[in-house]
Parts: sequence; C-alpha cells; structure tokens
Amino acid sequence: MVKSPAEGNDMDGKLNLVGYDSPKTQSSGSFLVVDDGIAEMQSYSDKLEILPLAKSLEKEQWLKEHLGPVPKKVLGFFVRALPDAKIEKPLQACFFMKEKKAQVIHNVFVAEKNSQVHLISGCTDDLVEGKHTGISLFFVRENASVSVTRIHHWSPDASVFSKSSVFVGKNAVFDSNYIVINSPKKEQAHSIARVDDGGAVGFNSIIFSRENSDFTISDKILLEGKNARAEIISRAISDGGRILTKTYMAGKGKDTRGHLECDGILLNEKGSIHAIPELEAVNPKTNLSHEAGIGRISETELSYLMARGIDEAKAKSLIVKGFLDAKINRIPPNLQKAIDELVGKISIQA
Amino acid sequence: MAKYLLEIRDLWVDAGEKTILKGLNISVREGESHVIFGPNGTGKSTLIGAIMGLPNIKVTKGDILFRGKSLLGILVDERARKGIGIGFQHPPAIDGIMLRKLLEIINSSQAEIKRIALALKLGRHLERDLNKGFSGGEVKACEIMQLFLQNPDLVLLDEPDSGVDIENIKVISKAIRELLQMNLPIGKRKRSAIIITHGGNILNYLDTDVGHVMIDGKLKCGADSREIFSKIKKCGYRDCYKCLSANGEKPSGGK
Repeated sequence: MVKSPAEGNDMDGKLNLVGYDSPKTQSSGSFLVVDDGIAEMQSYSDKLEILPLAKSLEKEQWLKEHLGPVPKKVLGFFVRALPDAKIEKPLQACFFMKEKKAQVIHNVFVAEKNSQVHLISGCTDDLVEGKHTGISLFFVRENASVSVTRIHHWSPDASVFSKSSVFVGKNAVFDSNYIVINSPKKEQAHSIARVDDGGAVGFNSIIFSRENSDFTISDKILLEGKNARAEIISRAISDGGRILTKTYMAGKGKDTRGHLECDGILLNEKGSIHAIPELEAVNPKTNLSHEAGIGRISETELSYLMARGIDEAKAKSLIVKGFLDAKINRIPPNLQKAIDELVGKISIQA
Repeated sequence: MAKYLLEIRDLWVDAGEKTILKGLNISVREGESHVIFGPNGTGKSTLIGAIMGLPNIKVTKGDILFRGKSLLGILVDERARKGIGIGFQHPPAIDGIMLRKLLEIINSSQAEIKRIALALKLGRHLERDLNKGFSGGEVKACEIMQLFLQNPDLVLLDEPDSGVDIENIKVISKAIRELLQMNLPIGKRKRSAIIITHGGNILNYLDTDVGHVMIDGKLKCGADSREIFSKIKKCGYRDCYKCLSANGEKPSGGK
C-alpha cells in the first residue's frame, strides 16, 4: 500500500492524531500498547493506579465474572482512581498496531467512590489489514465522575470490533465521546451502560465514514435506578461509507429521564446512513424522547454563507464543523486538532 | 464606466416550476436606493434571488448587468465578492456556527465588529450560534450587521422590517440609513440599494429615491417611493391595478 505523507511511518505522528501527545506534565498517567506488548505504563498521580490487567486479575477475582473468558496473556490495563481522588489531568492511553496483524485488548477502569477522573484513549495502526478487538469495562462507583474520549484513526482496510460495558453507580456520572476520524473497512462499536439511582450517562459520538467503509455503532443505556438520566448524541457523516447507528434507551427506574439525538449528513451519493433510535419505557414514571435528522448539507445554509462571499468548499466545511461542534462540547481542548483534521479533510473533498 | 450599477433587461425567471418574472426591467445608478412594493407572492424576493444568484431561481431570458457585465452563470459567492450584498427575509439559524466567527470571516476588523454589534444591540449575541433563538428583530439586525462588514456596492434588502417591533424598527432603520449613506444628500451617496417591502413601515425612517410596484412579474410605476407608499397605504394595491389599466403600462426604471 502506498502511503500518503500524512499517513507516513512516523509512530509519534500517528499517536499524536489520537490524542497521545501531551507532554507528560499534561497527563496524570500514560499507557501505551504497541502490537502485543505494553510499551509505556506510568502513573504521575499517587491517587491513580495503573497496572497490566494480567497482573491485577490475580488480585481482583471479582473481575472474572464480568470479563468472561480471557486469553492467558491478557493484554490491557487495569486502572483505578482511588476513593475521593480528584484527578484533573487526563490519563492518556493508546493502542497501536505496528506490525502484528491482530490485537486483542481488555481494559478495566475503576473510579472509586467520590473520585473524578478523565481518560483519553486512542486506537490506530500503521499496517495493512489489521484486526483490532477492544473489550472495556468501566466501573463508576457511587458519586464518582468519569469522562472518556476515544479516538479511532484507522487504515482503510483494517477491521475493528469494540465493546464497552459501563456500570454507573449511585449519583455517579459517566461521559463518553467516541470519535472516528478515519473509519476502517469495517468497524463495530458496541456500548452498554447500566445506570443506578441518580446516576447520569452521556454518550456522544462523531463518526466520519469514508468510501468502502462499513460502520456500525450501537449505544444502549439502561436507566435502572430511580432518577437515573441519560443523553445520547450521535453525529454521523458519510463521505461514501455506510453508517448504521443503533441507539437504545430503556427507562426502567422511577423518575428516569433520557433523550437521544441522532443526526447525519451525507456528503455524496455513494454512502448511506441508517439511524435506528429506540426508546423503551418500562416504568410509567419515565420520560424518554428522541429526535433524528439525516440529509444532505442544507442548500439554504450553504447559499446563505456563500452570499457573504465565502466559497462553496469553505461554506461546506463551516456547516459540517458546526454540525459536529453543536452540543458535543466536552471534547478536551487538546483533541480539537483531531476534529480540525476531520473537518479539513471534508473541506478538501467538498 | 457603465451608466448604471445594475441594469436588468427583459428578465424572465422561473422559480421551481413556475414562471415568476415576466420581462422585468429596472436600472439602478450608483447611490440610488429603489423600493419595490407589491402584494405577497408577486415575485419580489425572486427578483432579489435572481440578482444574487440563489439556487432554484432560473433566468430563462433577458440579462442582469452589474457594472455593465452580465452576472448570469456566476456563482453566489463570486457575486458577493463583486460587491453585491443581501439581507435575507428568512435567514437560516445554523447550529455550531458562532456569529462572531462568521463575522470575522466576512471582515477581520474586530473594532468594526464591535462598533456595529453595539449599534445594532447585538453585542451579547456574538458568542451565540448564528440566529439561534434570535427574535424577529434580532435576526434582521444581524443581516444588517453582516452587510456593514461585507461593505457591498449594491445592497439588496428583502423585507428588512417584517416581524420587527416598533422599537427595533428605529434601531434597524438607523443602521440602514448609515449603511446606505442617507445622511448625505442624494447625488453624493455611493452605495445603491433595492429594498423590498410589503408593509412599507420602514419607509417612514428612510430616505429612498425611486419606488416601483411589482405586479404580474413586472415592475410598474417608477415614481417617488413615498408617493407610491402613501397611495398604497390609503387604497391598497387595488388602486395600482386600476391606475395601470386606466393609464396603460408605464415602463419602470430609474429617474
């Protein structure tokens, strides 16, 4: 495969694109996997434990029922934010496929009671036809708060499968941003969250699907406890690829509230976007709503901007950037360049 | 140098499936402001759209000359860069595009942005998404603000006063007066305008030159704008039809 200069062999460059670039002073810890080995693992906070999952499994027997069967040499992290820890800087993690064609990752992230912690996690590759599998478990204990931003940047012929399970405790908060800048040939991303009394979950996703890419994202939130709340915001852009967004929310507990929004823009006629928003009310005292809209870039908006003297390509990129920016406002500032890169690509193609 | 800044000859325009303009003529000199009256749905906005080159408006016959050169086939953004600016009747609200950012693209002068925003009472709207949740008056003020920053030679205003309350009409018309250099005597002004109005209230505050009435896809009358407005206020458009049938067709144009 011939690589463009932007997709060169520079590993650091690749890691930068998925958020693994801050100077160490800007993060609370780092965890880097290259192929099937841990290349970096360091915590810069005494309130944040970072271990190889293989090592911690001996101690944390309770994890076995959640993880199910795992390989003998299980690869991934076990991260724990200690009770009451307020960790402002994000932990940065990255899973890079350099030479080996298959990578299977298992990660466990625990935010203990009253802790606050942020994770930026990137997945990327520099090879042909890699297969990446990522299984993640998040435990957000009572009154804890976790924000996670995951960025995917794949070669065109990679295949990716990811599954995340999130357990949100009493009055705990979990916010997730899932950003796909370069979609692979095939990706399936499944997430499920169970939310206890007073807990809150936000799932935001930005999917950019290029030609010959087939992307499925499935977000499920089960509002099980009293007063649990959730929001799902999905933004899909097809530049010739197929995108299926399945979003599901169930109101099981009393006085639960949820809202889901899935919007898409088709940049050309080669691709498709299929949105399936689902709501299920089990408790009569739940309140769930959804809105969905898919279409081309609005001609009215485009000609409005062009009437100010802005050329078509720039006007399109402004609209798409606006579409992505709207409401997804918890993206860490250092990831703005990933978003800018995405929008930049669109303006070139417009 | 062309005699007219804008000259439209025998213009036939389709909007969607329908023929809306049927042989329209108008000529606008540098510094002149023209007002077009007319009942709803007669094609006033279509005319402005045709001059600006908006989508779904198709010129089937005739020509639109700007500084003596045809605009046909030229894209909207290029027409804007040639010096044509439009204040839309129904501008869209666009998610995620902050007003300040758009203004900075139109004109990089922070001082000018601040000055105009304050004059139009939009200082607190700069950090909001474009037109999102703006009141009727604020949307119109925002259009005028963008025109100021764009600094066009020909200003097209589509119903700048519709949906604006009485207090804000004063604010907006004061800004339009400044935009169209109406504090200068006629003859000294450089900027030209075509203003569309259905209700005409804004004319109480503006000092315009020529008025036209659009009927059946053509411009009629071509007289003093206040005179026409006072007649329309009194008798509505019924009398225009009567007058036209009594006098035969009077071609429309500059003075």
